[in-house]
Amino acid sequence: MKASLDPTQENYLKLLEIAETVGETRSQEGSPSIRLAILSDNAPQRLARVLLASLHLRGCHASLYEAGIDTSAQEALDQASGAHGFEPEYLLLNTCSQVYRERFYKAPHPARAAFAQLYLDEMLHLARPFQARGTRVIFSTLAPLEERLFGNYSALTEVSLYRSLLDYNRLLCDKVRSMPGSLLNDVMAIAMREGLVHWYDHKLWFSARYLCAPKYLVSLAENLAALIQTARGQMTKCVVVDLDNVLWGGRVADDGISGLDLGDTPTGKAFQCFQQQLKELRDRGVLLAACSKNDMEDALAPFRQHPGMVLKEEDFSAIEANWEDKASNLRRIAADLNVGLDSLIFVDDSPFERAQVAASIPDIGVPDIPADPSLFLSSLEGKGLFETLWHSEDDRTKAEQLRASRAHAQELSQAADLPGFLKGLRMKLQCRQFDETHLPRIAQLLAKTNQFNLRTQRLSEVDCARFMKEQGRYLPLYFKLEDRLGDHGLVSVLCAELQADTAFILEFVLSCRVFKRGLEHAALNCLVEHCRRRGVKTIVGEYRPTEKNGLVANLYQECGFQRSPARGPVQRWELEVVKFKTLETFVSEIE
Amino acid sequence: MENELEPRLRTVFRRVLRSRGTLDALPLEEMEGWDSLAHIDLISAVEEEFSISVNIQDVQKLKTFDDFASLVKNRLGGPGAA
Repeated sequence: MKASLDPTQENYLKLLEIAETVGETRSQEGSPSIRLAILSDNAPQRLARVLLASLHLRGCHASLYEAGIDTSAQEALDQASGAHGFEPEYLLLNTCSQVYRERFYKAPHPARAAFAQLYLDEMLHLARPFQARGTRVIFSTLAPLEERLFGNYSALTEVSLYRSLLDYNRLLCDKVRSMPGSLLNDVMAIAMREGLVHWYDHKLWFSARYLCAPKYLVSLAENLAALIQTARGQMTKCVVVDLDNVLWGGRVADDGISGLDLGDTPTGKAFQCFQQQLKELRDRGVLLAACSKNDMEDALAPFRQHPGMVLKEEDFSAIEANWEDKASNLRRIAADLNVGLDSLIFVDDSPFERAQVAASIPDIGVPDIPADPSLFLSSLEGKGLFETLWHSEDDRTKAEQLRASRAHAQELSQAADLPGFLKGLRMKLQCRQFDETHLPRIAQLLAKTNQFNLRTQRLSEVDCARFMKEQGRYLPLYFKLEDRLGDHGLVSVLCAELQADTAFILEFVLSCRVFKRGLEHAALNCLVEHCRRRGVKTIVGEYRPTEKNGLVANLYQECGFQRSPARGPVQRWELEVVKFKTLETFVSEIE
Repeated sequence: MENELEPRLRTVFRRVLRSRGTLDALPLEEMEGWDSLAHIDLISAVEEEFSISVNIQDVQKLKTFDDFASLVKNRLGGPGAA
């Protein structure tokens, strides 16, 4: 993940300049592209330009549709409107507190307790026609305004604007959480980070309907760009930290264990708190790795001997301690954890190391951090590095699951006889049609999987919910795996659309944690079996090449599909169900 | 201070308007690259460059480069500064 730009006047002008040049270039063949419509109750033009540039810097070409200011209702409710004709994948409801204020002050006191809900209902009303066509709607929270005309009591009475905005944000967040595929643009959090006194430029609101000072449009745009990037499956999967002066104060090789600053002093407490914050990240599914210029023995000593350490050796999925350059180490960590370099971020106190890594690996996120450990987290925050679209119980055990799959890889590398080894795993595969409980995890797997992903359509939770409901038209399957090494959870999704006697495979993904076990064969066997029962004669699969899915280029061929003509880089493969020979698998049990 | 003020202001204008055209003695409306959004960008950029704040009353009054220059002079030097 690229670290977001800071909200400065300089960056604001820089992004506007970039937008000038981007606007003229067309999306190149194969380069990722998105269609985003913006409905605004405040001036949308500059935000749209800056957002275009932010997305561009993240390697994403965007077509934007800006509706005129205050035309949201017409655009949303008229199916023939420009916004609908644009067929957006994403719709941003760019709403601001100042308009809320205008409306709120017109409401008589007795109506104010219900105002937040009514306002939210209006937003949902605007969103619905877009959601019905599969557009992902981005809702914005509202920053508090400075006015607290009841003093502290403002928080206690629904008659006050301050309390009403709090209520609105709370109601909105609950609603967004319950609507699959919806996204939250937390403007309130961004404004609070900057401070309301700085955030607002009131004269620009009254002069030109700017919801905030122009330089903070950089924060808004970078936040939205990171959110969209995450929705498209790019996110931080692993944080790689340096050790000396990042996890503790001092250099372990020079100062020894007892000389490290960790725990008791003010500086030591700051390092400890940063460790705690990293542990929280790990517990929500971001892998941790360490990369240190040290001998391994020195690097590990604090983990084993220092009582102040919050992080333990086993919290790290990879530790590289040696004297090679850090870029090589980072490449090794990415390969070892089987994640893309673009999903790593590298945290190092040395500007030299940061510059060297940033120069040799352009894809990697290298946020600047100050020398002061009490500012580490604050400087990492606000850079869009920790975006996620979900949290599931599954995430907490990510590091353990990785360990199990490495134990597997270790055993595998030592196994003399591969089929015998795979049979010995006693793999138990559960094949089910989509259900409500598993939708978030299904959407997560579709969003995150890059390697074993045949079409990379990034179908959203909204799409998945539709497949689930229209089971006459779709065959949406997911697979859960257990073996003697542990429970791997939901590891594969295979979803087909039925048209007459043909099944078209919309998406087929398999988690990289369980590659090389022949599970794809088992999944295809299940699909064919379902297809037979439903009278399908032909199964059609597509392989759409990306930079990362070369692994499955020959999958359909290996499974007995015949290539049929198709245009461009897309490969089309067909299988006659009657000719299908059940594929050999090593799965002991399929439910 | 005053001597370096105009070149600094000129740089801000050129940067924001992305223009190499004439600045002096023209109404802003006639300047290359100017529109109502650029006007707002100019105000914010000038505020940032000189660490001053522009009043809402001034937003519409600023009609030429010289208007900006005298506003900045005024804010920086106060009424007594010459």
